[in-house]
Amino acid sequence: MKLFQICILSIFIVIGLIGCRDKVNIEDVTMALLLGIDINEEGQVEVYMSSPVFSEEAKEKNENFEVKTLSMKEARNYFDSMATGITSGGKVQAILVGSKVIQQKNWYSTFDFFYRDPKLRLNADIVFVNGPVADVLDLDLKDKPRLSIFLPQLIQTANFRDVALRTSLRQYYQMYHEKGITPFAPEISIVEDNLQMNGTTLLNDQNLYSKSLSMKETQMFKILNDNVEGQLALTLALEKYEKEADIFKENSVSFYTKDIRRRVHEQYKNGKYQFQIDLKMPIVISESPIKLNDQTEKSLQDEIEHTLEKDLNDLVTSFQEAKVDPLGLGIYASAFNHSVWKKNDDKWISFYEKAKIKVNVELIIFDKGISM
Amino acid sequence: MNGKLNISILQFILLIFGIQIGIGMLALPREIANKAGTSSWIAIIFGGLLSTMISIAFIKIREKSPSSNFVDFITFYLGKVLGRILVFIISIYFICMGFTVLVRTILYIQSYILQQTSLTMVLLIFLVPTYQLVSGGVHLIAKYVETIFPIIVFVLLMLLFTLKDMNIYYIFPIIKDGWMPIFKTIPTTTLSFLGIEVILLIYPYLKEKEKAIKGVIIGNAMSTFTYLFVTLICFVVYSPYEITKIYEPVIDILSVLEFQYVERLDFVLLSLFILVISKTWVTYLWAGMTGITELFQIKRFIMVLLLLFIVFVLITYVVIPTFTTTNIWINYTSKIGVCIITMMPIILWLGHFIKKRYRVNRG
Repeated sequence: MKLFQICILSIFIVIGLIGCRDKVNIEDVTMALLLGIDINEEGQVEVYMSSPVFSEEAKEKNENFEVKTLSMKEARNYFDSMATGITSGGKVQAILVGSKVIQQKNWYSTFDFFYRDPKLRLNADIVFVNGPVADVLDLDLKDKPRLSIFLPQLIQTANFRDVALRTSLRQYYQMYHEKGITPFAPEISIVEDNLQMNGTTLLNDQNLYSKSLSMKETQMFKILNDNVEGQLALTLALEKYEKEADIFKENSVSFYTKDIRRRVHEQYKNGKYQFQIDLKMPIVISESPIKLNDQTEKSLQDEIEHTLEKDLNDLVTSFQEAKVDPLGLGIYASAFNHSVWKKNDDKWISFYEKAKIKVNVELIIFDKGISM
Repeated sequence: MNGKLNISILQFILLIFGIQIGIGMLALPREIANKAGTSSWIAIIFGGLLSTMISIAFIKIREKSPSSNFVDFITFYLGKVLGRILVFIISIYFICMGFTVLVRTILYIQSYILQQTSLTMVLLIFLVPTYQLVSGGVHLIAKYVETIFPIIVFVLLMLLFTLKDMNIYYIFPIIKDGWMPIFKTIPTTTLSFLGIEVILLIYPYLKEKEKAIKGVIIGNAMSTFTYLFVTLICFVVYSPYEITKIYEPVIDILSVLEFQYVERLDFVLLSLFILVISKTWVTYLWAGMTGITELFQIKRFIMVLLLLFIVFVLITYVVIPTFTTTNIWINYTSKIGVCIITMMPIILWLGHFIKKRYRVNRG
């Protein structure tokens, strides 16, 4: 009986080996690490794919494909007909979206495939390209690793250094469907034959392009949004200490900040929303225009608070003017005054435009360096 | 009853917990959010309380005839003819429920992991361990459930990692549109607590019968806690507008988990979770088979089981189940299930009452 059981068991184990027939060697897989979508000059939609090549004989380290189709999934058939191996989408690192795409209505419908196929990676980053996607993929970077590996690394490190932010497919889906926030994603552009993560693209509630943020504004936005990843280094020019000089005006202050605490207060009065965003920022001064001791420290702190508050309030006002709410203040409106929100959730932006938003900054200098 | 075949109180608790936590959990956050938005989690507590009360009623009824088997127990209350009909209906319901859960699980596997393998093939592979467990009887299932238990704890702990993307303001205010929608959600949550009807079958095997009530309370409390935990996590991670658009939020939520060397942890966790779901269909099939064999006094339990499996394979081969058809199956079976768990105590009590009356009159 025991022997019989062992025999049956071994037969089942051997049956499991049948699965090996379907094995795929890593050399035979074309890993789609970058996907791109863009509109060319004739107004046709183009889908791009870039994958690393592991063959020693190939001169290029990267293979790029381009297909004119409206469907991402159909594009994959064409990729299969051109690529060395079987294309696999499970390792997608980034999806590049051309700037022309996000000016067209319903562009997001092409993304349906990403959210339906369970094999696709929802942690892939969405990146908007300032210019044609083809330019990015054709870029010949001599001093960098292959593009399909370099670009994801760039996105990661830029986010870690807090000069850019990251938006995954999953997060974008959420921002698209949530009515109290408008979507945003990092922006990449080619500056003198080099890739640069240089800001953020903000989209409006129709999911169309609305506004771009510069690198500095992106940093401010990260502070406001309380999603500082590592240490955020900020440099401000303080007017108070400006010296009469041509080049070296000695008025810049630099500091690190991390573990920002944000509190949002919301009020609804006479058909108008009021928001107050209180930020408590511990900072480490790394560059100062004046000598710092316990007395001068206070005046520097006031000056930074003042400048930062002005910059942040200006940024928020510019959001309101552009009719975008990337801070997700609508979520707070929904949480605190749900009965009002429920009636007007489709018209949130029109309320947001008229809302009174104020940012307060409270700094805590907990280190000012090793010399005065 | 053979003393060796008895189950301990811990196994009893885990059996109740194990049969309740199943496929229902995967889609629960979406289903209740459809009814009452993010305030619907309160309904789970009410559902849990209701389920606990019904379980206690079951135990109270069962105490009257503690060591008789299922058929004897029902006929004790309802008489021979009615009792046998009821046992037959309930057994068929158990088998249908077990089959539905099994097919649904296989559909999940096919949709998420094995997209190119045929349904019948996966079913065949799953029937092997199912056969072993069901033919092993309740004490084997109890041991299996005990062994599997750490997996559900592990999966639940992994869910905590998804909280890095949370926004607590999604669930505020706690009661969004008043209490009415929350009360209307209670029937939906009760569906997730189905499985307590199996108490009637496993009670005779329980070693320490005086602790039974304590056991069902703990078992139901554990299920309630698990559902609450999962639902609350889904509600703070997903936006209220988004959660109604994702079929299985509990699987989907895991897809963002990534560690340095492990990507796509959701597949690993889903595969582990299948073991957790397996407890549901194994227990249901065992319960159904026990009912049928006791009813017709069949000696060859194994033959009937194999026959049943052949029917299962044929059905999946002919019908080709899809998510839509299994949704309809689940809908029907769980409605019957709710009828059974709510009506059973009343019917049994009525039967008892009439019988007593009759006896008094005669005496």
